[in-house]
Amino acid sequence: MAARRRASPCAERESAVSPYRVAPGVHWVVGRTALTILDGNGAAKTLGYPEAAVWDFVTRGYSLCDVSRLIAPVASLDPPAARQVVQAAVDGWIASGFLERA
Amino acid sequence: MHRMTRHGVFLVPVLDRWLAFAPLHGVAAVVNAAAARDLRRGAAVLSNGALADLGRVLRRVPSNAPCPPDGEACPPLLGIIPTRGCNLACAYCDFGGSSSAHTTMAPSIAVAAVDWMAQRMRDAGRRSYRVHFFGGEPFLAPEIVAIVVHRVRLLADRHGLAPYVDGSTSGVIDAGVCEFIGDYFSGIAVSLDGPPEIHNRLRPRSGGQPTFDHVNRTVARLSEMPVELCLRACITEDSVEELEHVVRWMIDTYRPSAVNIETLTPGVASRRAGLKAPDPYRFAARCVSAYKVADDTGVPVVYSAAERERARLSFCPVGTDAVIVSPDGRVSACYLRPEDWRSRGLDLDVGGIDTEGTVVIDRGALGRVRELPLLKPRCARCFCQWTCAGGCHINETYPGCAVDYTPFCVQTRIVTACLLLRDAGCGEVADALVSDQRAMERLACHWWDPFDSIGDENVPVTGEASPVWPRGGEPRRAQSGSPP
Repeated sequence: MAARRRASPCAERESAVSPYRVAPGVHWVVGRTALTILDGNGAAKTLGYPEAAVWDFVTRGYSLCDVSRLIAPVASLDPPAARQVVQAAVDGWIASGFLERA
Repeated sequence: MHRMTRHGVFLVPVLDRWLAFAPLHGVAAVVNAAAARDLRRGAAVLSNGALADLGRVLRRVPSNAPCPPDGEACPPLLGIIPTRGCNLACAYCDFGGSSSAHTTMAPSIAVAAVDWMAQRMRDAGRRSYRVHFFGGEPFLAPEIVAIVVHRVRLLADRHGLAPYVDGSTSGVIDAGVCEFIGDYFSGIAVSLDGPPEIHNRLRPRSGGQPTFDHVNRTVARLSEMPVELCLRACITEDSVEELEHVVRWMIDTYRPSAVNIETLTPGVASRRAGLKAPDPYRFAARCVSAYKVADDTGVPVVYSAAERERARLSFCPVGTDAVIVSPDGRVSACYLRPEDWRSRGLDLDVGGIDTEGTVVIDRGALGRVRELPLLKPRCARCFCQWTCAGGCHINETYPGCAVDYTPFCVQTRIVTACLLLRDAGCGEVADALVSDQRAMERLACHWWDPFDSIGDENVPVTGEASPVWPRGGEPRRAQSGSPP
């Protein structure tokens, strides 16, 4: 959501642009209260919350710092816990081949 | 102020005939003068003869009478105003969005409101959770919108509720916001006043630049997405003769889910810009033609004061227990600015969010707001009292307003009658009506529409006790909680 043009409080610490991108062939479907990621081979992974929100923010181009800042109120987490949730989710998606470094 | 007396059955003159309308029974019928006379004479006449079927229906206790809410607040929707700021400076807008401070709601306020609503929905056994974004331009605060949407979805999942997210926008938003709307919104209303020559004059940016091209791109994008797209046009004196053309153009160009047409509400800004509301008779005639134009397309046209799907006590969320949260954490019944309702001697705040992040509802204030839809002396004699329900509580039927019909009443009475005629399979009568100025005036100015003498069940309907407005037992709410 306009992340690339936004002045980010994270800008001095890291790039305000997401360092990740969706891997080729990966698609996702937003369901009623969840989100399902599909890779090019037909494998699917359903994300509940808060991971579904993490995926949304990451794929809209927010930096991990901004994703953590936004996830904190969404999931009622303090900043360190939010950062941990975001990092763990992103690491898992990279390992699964859904995300890759930009 | 006294509560208005409500009625269940009405007769309004339509050319040389009469339209009988029983909104709580869901019945509309065209009758001749003799039958209208018999209807007024009541039960004995209606037991036999040609009107017996109608009489049988009207004697039943209606099943769809709305009831004002009571007890704990149980909102049909949570309204969020992420910001009062706006990137447009519409010629008729008195919201002051382009000049107001672009204060954005704090995430803590948004989350407190969302959490409170989820708890209320859960406690009340509701199955859905509706949140609506109001402005200003809500997408000037995209992060607040995103936080609210995801928090709603998280809690809806946790509590087994179906989330329903909708909102309003100027359409001057970027492609990323469109994608977000397409992914997470069930409905979106975009303000589009017509083709460029109309839209650009009425809805420029705050710097004066035209906005049509941008809105056109937005609407084209949204029309490809899985979201109910409603195009909302404000009709002025200058654009009213183009109404059918505007509606046809919108439908052909964008294939929206619905087209909403409303007339300009005169105010300081519109007077300064030399804009006027359309003549109510011209609007009514053109509006009915627009409905006809849309018939073949399957795209519904909506003039909101003439909605007939179900009887209602209030034109808008006010009085239904809907809560609308402002950027500063005030919790109100109305999305208009406090200075607007204060100018009418009203206070529509019903609570606030304290420093601990707790939503506090003032039961006394809530009770006063629940009374507001019941205090409409102007509406007591009008057949639209259960459909229009008095229009805006601030701009139309505010406390102390004149009881005379206004231009809004005139156009609403004519449009509603014509739509009821169409519903009853008498579209040709509606066409004839809007072609006859004197007939329209007779209908619009008809002094007393109700009649109340059909059998024992049709006594006047009051707020406290009546067969069509049951009190006690299992309350029937004006809003069921299911999204529209």
